[in-house]
Amino acid sequence: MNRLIIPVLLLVLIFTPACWDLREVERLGIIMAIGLEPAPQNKIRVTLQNVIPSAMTGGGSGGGGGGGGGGTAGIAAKPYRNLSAEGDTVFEALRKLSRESPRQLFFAHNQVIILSEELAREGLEEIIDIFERNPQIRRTTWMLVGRGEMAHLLDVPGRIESSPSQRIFGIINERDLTSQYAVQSLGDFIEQMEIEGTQPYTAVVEAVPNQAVPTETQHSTAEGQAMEPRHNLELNGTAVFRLDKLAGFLNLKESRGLLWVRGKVNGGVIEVPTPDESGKLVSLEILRSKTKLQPEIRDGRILMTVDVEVESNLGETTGPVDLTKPEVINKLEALQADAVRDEIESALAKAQQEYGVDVFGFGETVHRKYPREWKEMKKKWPELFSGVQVEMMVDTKIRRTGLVSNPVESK
Amino acid sequence: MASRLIKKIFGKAPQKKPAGPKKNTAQQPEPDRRIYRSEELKQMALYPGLQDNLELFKSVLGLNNDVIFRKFRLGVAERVEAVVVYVEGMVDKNLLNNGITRPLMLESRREGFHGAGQNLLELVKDFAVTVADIHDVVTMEDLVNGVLYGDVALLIDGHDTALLIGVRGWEARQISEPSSEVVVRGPREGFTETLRTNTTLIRRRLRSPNLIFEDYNIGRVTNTGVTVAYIRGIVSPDMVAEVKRRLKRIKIDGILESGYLEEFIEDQTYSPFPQVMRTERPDRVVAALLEGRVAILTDGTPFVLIVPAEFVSLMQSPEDYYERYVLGTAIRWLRYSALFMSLLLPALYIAITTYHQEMIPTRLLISIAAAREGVPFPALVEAVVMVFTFEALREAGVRLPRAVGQAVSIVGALVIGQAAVQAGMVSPLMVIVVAVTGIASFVNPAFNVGISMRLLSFPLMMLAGVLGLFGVMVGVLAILIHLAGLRSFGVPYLATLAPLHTGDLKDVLVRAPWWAMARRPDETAKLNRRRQARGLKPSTSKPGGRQGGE
Repeated sequence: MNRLIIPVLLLVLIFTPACWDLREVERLGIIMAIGLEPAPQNKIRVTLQNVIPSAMTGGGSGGGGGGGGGGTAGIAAKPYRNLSAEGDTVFEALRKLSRESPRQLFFAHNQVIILSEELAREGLEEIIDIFERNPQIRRTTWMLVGRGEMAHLLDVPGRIESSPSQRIFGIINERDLTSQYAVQSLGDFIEQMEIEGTQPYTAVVEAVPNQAVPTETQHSTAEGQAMEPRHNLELNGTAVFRLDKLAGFLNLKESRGLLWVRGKVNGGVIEVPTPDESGKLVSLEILRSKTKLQPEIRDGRILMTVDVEVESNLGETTGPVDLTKPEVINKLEALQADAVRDEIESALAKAQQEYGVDVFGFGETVHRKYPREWKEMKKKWPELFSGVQVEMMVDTKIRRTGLVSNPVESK
Repeated sequence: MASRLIKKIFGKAPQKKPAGPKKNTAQQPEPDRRIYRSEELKQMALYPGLQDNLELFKSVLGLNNDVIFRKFRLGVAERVEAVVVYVEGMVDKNLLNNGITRPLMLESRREGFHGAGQNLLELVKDFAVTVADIHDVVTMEDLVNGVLYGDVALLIDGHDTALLIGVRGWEARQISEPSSEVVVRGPREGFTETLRTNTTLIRRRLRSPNLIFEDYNIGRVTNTGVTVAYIRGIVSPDMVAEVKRRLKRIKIDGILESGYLEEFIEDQTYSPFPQVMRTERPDRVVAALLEGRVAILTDGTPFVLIVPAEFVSLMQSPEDYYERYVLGTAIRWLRYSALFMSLLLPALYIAITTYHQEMIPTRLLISIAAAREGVPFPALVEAVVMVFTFEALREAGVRLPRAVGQAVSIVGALVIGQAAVQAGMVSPLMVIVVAVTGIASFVNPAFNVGISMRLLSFPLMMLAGVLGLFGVMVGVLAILIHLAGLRSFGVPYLATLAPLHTGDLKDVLVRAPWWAMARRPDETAKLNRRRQARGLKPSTSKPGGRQGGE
């Protein structure tokens, strides 16, 4: 009898409290994007993008390579739906949404958190806590600042990636092709908020008019609905923060300047004039770069050495360049170094003079090298930062020049 | 209580001892009611008179009309009566006629064959019967057993000793390729149902005087021949003694297949894992004998048992050793991963899709969710139903006649693969999971290991459905604990891995080239470890190698 009791108790133990946290996949409302913006009466409006899996995968046999009828049906059934609610806190707003969502909202696969520009200006300290605290939110989620209304941003239809969240995610994955916006994950963003001597920054997303929409419709209306959407999503420059509040923006060039200093440029195209000063351009494709920051305190002044190493390929030239000559290559390398220096300078000018925000993390490096001095410096770091003397050492290499050595020459 | 119940069902049934008549058969009037037990027959000595012996014999076997009694006379001057007794169909008629009856009847008329004296028996042995296998028998038991095994009994009047002449020969299945263990490269011979053929198949591959076959008869009614085979000098004597001890324990009416023996001699009955290896391949038996294992051959079945069997040896196929070692290693890894897949895949699928969705890559999650859209059952029920259906189809396909079996597979493919998915009963992903699991379980060369893995996947699925990955881990740990405690004839079941024998890992994790496997496995060949000479690695610079090995 006793020998039977233990297994029975074990079975009871397993099967009675079990399944309490069971959730079947199809009962989940998979959230892929969260938009946050201020609402009247000091509230916060949360907009969620809930993907509809069956519409997303084309629902089995439909939507094949035929393109015609199937494709139209796919667009008509939007593969996502957006939910929105207002609340005094983010959590309250999220829970309010459960009153209208038939599925349990599931945030583990959330791809982006978009903060509206106004909200970012008001400050993030009050709202960012839940994203750090909730176990479902990943620290790898991309953090973005969105221009315009969330409901609009999260409802820009697309054809390749039909949900905006996936599109943004896809675009960010290819960020190294331009290196013209500095995007941060939630984890890194929060970390930079909390570290002394550095300020957070992240990329800006906005809806821009689609240049590819034809001025004249050549299709019938039925097909026309499946035509190019009016707007596209674009990642456009960088937002820089002072503590938790948005301080301003960096344009594409300045953004890359920031990335050079941060050592995060792994690609992109940089244009330099041809060595013969004919006004023609050479496009260089950046392969990789390496940056070293070396602070130095000399006579009470802070000197920062930014040591950048760049490797690139020659990708295009619009004028005659004799690439068989090493001195031409050397000249190009020097020109490229100038271009890099120019980009960094523009970013420095914006950050040091206009915003006074240390997005480069200069303070952090000073803190590391001069921990004792830092204790006094950190109080007045924002002012000190503006006075940091930056010395740039740019070392560039051109590795390959493509399939042809000399450009096309019509004779 | 459970154990009491089990004992009630499986334990010893109360033995009935029918009070059999103890007197000699001569006085027994109703031979058809008489039951002969071997202890009794053992005590029955032969009479000097042929008539008495014949009566005794007839009372034992006389009701069988396949038992032939052939009377004839020996000698020229004094004609002595003699009888040959044999079972029709179990003797080689040709040999019987030319080797026994013809010389006895014809040669015995020659000069010098005046066999009235005591030496008639010797004369017959020395000059008449040309068959090689011949020996004296004095008890009824040996005589009856011999005749029932296809020997010919020769009884001569005036002698209380009979001759048993071995001319066994019956219709038997030809040696053919073993259907349960097919190899691409390797010998095609498989064991048959005849014990003697099987020992021959082994002997032919192992021409060593140290190969020992020891015969036993097990089964009080069937009297089945069981042969224990081992190689003296390699096997540990304790192991042989233990095998014999366990075999002698068995008191059963009949042994129809080696599976009967397996359950009597295995260490732990309440375990899903086979602790005895069985094979149809002589080459595999020889390989096992060379590793210091013991083989048990059973008459009437082509399946030979090999003990001890550890888990890793069950995962090996003879072909691993015939193909080049690179292939052998790759296939071994494939086999290990298939093993884990057949055990864990459905459970992991259930656990991850119902509890740990954050572990799934986003796109996969979306397609799983889309596939499960509209499926009315929870993943657990879906999986159990599908795996059950798969098992049913497999079983149906195995047992049915070949022609019908094809129909079953078509129905299976259509029902599971198409209709169930289209009807929205199951998700296509579950079909994939079940199919992959099924295929993975067939990758294992030992069919019974594959089955036990699939059997264990059911409780794991339950645990996964109830406790998620935590449950799967609990289940896997429980299985591991069980495996670690299991032994096969004293050898730890997880041997080479736990306890770890680093030297033997070259035949577990990889299949090292032959020249690198200089030593026999630690656990089985304790006494004679060296298998081959050292330094046999082929190389152009150093010809030859050091001597050693046997």
